Amino acid sequence: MTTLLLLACLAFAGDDATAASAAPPSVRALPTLPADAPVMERALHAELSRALDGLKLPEAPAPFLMTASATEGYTVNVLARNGAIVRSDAAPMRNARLESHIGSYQSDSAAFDDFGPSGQLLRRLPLGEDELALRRTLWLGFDAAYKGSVEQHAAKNAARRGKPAPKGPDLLGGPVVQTTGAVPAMPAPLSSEALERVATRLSRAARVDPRIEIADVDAFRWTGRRVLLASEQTRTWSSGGWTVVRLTAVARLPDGSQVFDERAWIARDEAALPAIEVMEEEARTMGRAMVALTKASVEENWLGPVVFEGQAAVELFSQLLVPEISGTPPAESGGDGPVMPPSSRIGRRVLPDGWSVRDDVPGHPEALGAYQTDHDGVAPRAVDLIEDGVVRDVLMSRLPRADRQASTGHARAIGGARREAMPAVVEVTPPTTMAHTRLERQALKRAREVGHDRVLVVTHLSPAANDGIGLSVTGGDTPAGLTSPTEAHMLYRDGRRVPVRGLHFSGVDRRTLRDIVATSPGEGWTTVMDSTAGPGRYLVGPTGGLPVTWNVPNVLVAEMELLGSGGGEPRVVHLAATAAGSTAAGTK
Amino acid sequence: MLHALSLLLAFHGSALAAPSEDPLPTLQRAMDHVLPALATQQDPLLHLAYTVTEHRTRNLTAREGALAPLRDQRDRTLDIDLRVGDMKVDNTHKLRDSWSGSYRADGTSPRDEAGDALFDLAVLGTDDTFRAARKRLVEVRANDQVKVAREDDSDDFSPTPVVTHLAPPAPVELDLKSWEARVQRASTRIAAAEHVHQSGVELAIDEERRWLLTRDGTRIADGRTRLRVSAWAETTADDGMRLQTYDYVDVAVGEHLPDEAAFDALVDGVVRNLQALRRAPIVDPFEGPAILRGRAASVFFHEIFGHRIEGHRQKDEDEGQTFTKRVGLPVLPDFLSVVDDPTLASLAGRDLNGNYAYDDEGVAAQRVTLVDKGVLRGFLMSRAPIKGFGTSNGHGRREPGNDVVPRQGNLIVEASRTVPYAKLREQLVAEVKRQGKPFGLVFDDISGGFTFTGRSTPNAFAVQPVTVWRVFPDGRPDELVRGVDLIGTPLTTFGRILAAGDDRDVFNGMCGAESGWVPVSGSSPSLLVQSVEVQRTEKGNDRPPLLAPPVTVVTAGGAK
Repeated sequence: MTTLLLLACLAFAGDDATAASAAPPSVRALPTLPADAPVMERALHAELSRALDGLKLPEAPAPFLMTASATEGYTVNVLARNGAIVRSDAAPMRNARLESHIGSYQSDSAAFDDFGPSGQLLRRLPLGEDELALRRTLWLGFDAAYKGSVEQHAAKNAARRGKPAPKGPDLLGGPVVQTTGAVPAMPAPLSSEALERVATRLSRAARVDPRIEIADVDAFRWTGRRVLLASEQTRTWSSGGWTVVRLTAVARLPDGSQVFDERAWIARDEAALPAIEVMEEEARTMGRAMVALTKASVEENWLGPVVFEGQAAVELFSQLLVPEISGTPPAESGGDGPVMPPSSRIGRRVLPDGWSVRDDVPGHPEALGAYQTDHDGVAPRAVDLIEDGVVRDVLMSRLPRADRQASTGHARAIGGARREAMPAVVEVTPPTTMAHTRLERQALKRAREVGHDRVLVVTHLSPAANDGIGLSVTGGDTPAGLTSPTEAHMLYRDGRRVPVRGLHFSGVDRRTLRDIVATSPGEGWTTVMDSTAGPGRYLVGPTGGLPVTWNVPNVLVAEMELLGSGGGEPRVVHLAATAAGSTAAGTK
Repeated sequence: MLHALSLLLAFHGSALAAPSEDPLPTLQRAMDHVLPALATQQDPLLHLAYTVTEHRTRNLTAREGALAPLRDQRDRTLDIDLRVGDMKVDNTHKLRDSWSGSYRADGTSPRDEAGDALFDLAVLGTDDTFRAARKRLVEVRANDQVKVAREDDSDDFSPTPVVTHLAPPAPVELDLKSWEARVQRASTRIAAAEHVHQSGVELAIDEERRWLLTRDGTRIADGRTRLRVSAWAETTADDGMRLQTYDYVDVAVGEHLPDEAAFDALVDGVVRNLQALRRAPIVDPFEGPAILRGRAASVFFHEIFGHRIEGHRQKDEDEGQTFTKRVGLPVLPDFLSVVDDPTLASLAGRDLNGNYAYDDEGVAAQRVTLVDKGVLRGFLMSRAPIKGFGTSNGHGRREPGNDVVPRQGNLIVEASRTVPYAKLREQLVAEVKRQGKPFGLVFDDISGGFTFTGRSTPNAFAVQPVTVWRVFPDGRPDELVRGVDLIGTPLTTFGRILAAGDDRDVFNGMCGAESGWVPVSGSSPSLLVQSVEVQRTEKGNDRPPLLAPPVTVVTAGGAK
């Protein structure tokens, strides 16, 4: 989400790490609303105010912090299959995330998760301009959040009994951030027609051959505005939106095996998407690549150098780096197990010498992953995450860890999930790059050294956000692995490029990135849809998630292992030739 | 296998069309395309049917007095029903001691005829289904070799006449603007009522259009329309019990929707009942005489009787088979008869949800006498035969995306000997006195119910009442009570029905079972039962809200 308004008035915490590290006293004060505040904000303010004044059970403490963030706007969801609309829906939306925190910044009820009652909840709000209707829903929501936080706090205290007291606070004091100027206007209602056209044409274009049995296009757009009010005098307004168009296709090969491929276009709105003719050509190119696989052999095993180009390079870095640079520690939970440390570790080497990684939202305000305040209401700052290949800093929300006591303004969450730090606008910079042809020559040389006459080049990986297959999870809160290639070929010394299929990575983890031995310039800034580090990254679906913008180089990894598989049950009934100029293999 | 069969009164959308394109030509083309290829296969194709079901749903909803914009959505599902084998044994044959289910192809269908999307879906889905079916047939044959002989060795499939029935669509025409105002006004009124914590009002318009094509040549294009106007309100009692009242009217055409006065009365009733329930005492577990009035009696019969006379349960040896071997024997008092008649469009002035002309296998719906003067005569049948009943009587039903099984349509209880309701109540009081009980109960509205029919669980049922009244033998006024569910087991309960009233009510709802959610209706006179059992109902434990509800709109600046 992009904030359109200026922020002002940073007070006791803000970006100042020293100030933020001290557990501040509770403020419990709401900002004053301007006379022209929108109805949703008036309702939030009124019920938040009543909740702060009145929510108190006889034998339980009152909240030390309450927050409410509400989002309103419009969404469009379209699914087209093989050139026809399956479903299409344009609808208004409005929901609120309500939080009640019991205890103190030092010991905050919200920093605990045992799947029991919780003080954080998401409520769907009535639509329309009826303030009383909104307040009635919020009234019950805050009541439930407060009661949930009382039980959450008790469960947390119970779990901590007999254990050493934690060294630092559970929650960092929030900066007093207040939007100045006009509140962003509510956008005009959306129509689904434009995305229906795009989805229909792309799902038709991708089917260059009847062997491509299914070509689905999921298209999503949302536009709207968001307000955050907190009893720390916080008041921020922002507005924004994005559009995701994802093409996913399945082809069945003569041996019965299936191959998958996908393309995604992510932009601020339909107007910012590439021209439909350009997208159609990309869809056809993908379709042709899938058809080429019908002649490809199944590569049963590969142990050797691998080149990652374009989208595959972005996914490589995104999938393997995000857990290393996201600093939010796992939620504390009950039980006698050890407290899990954050998966990211400062001082750990994750890249070769000379590499750097920087998340710089202020430096790239035009990037789709950029915003002016995160979901905690904190302005993001540039963070030098990796220097000389070693993790030097991590992205933080207001949930601190022992070695980081300040937010970097990277808290984001989908729906009612815990707000955790996640990347926004990331640049991965190698110490040197070379022309891509030179990188390929170097790759072939390394391949020859291990007895291969060719090298594996991966040009497309199944995106983490939409991965139905191939993830090699090695356990824990943070899955380690890499999704499977959807497009790959063998590059031979004579320049031939022969498609291969059926490959899955084996034994990939963070250490893989240390084996990068050469780079070439990548495709520039690219946005992917993603979620916070953890298993949820692989479940956001074709159009879910939050935008993250990356700039990464193409890379050569010295050695990787991939296992191959193929085959299946051939069809009994085949499609007739339905795409122009093509005939289905095996059609009788 | 355990089946929890639920009945919901909550709207569970589906039903007829906006501008719809006829998919029958495309389906025919797909069938013509696949049949030659399937004919060359070693495993013979026994049956193939394509059904496209289109739903257009329009919802006008108001919550807490705020009206949401009209939602208008349309979608289509393709069902492919395919059998491999022969009439005696095909791939749908039950695998005993196995959880292996049948395969159904993804039926997510394009909502419009565009290019070859539907053709491709049908062809590829047929191939997927055929290959899965022939694998399953191998398992079926092995399973029959390994297991003991079946108690019911009737065929797996039966022939049925070829039908051509092409009915034009009948789209709903309604003044939605005026309904917007009515829905919003009603919602505002409920939200403002004392003790109402949450509430809503909805007009749901549900238009279904269906096209069915079979290899044998059956071609059906028909549809159905359902409209529901409903209101609900919720509160939390001081003891933590969450209370919800819900009332609705289901109609088949827009002209039958309630007028302004009737709609107001419905809304007022929802509020009045909620407020009364909040004050009502909780009943302890109790066993004693009771009257099941109107809708309660209908749901009672739907759960404890209707699900047990669905044909496939008589053949499935995991089922309890309460009635399988009781054909020709008394199962109910001799003054009661039961029929299921999907051909009825209305009864007692009410449109019936369970009305249809052809079932989901393309068989004409038939009025079926299930019980005649207390004696069991038959079962609800699809095209899967059971011992003694070799053909369908037009009750094969499903929600799109599920396998067809026999289901209820309009289950109607008829009584040959009735008394006026006032007399029935007197009989209740007399029975209370005779049994020496402190009171009797009258169940006059219900929210739903469920029953278990399998062998691995007790063959019990539960009916969830909304309003239950305590009737005292000493002439005190009846007292509304709350917090109980009506429970029991079928055979015991049937034997205790003493008398029937001369009244009749109708319930319309959605019934959920293994073939999904289907619209059903039930109708029964009020019934006096010698003894029923009630148990404490599930309840919440939250304190009521700590703060009073907001009642005034604040102005900017944060004033409360």
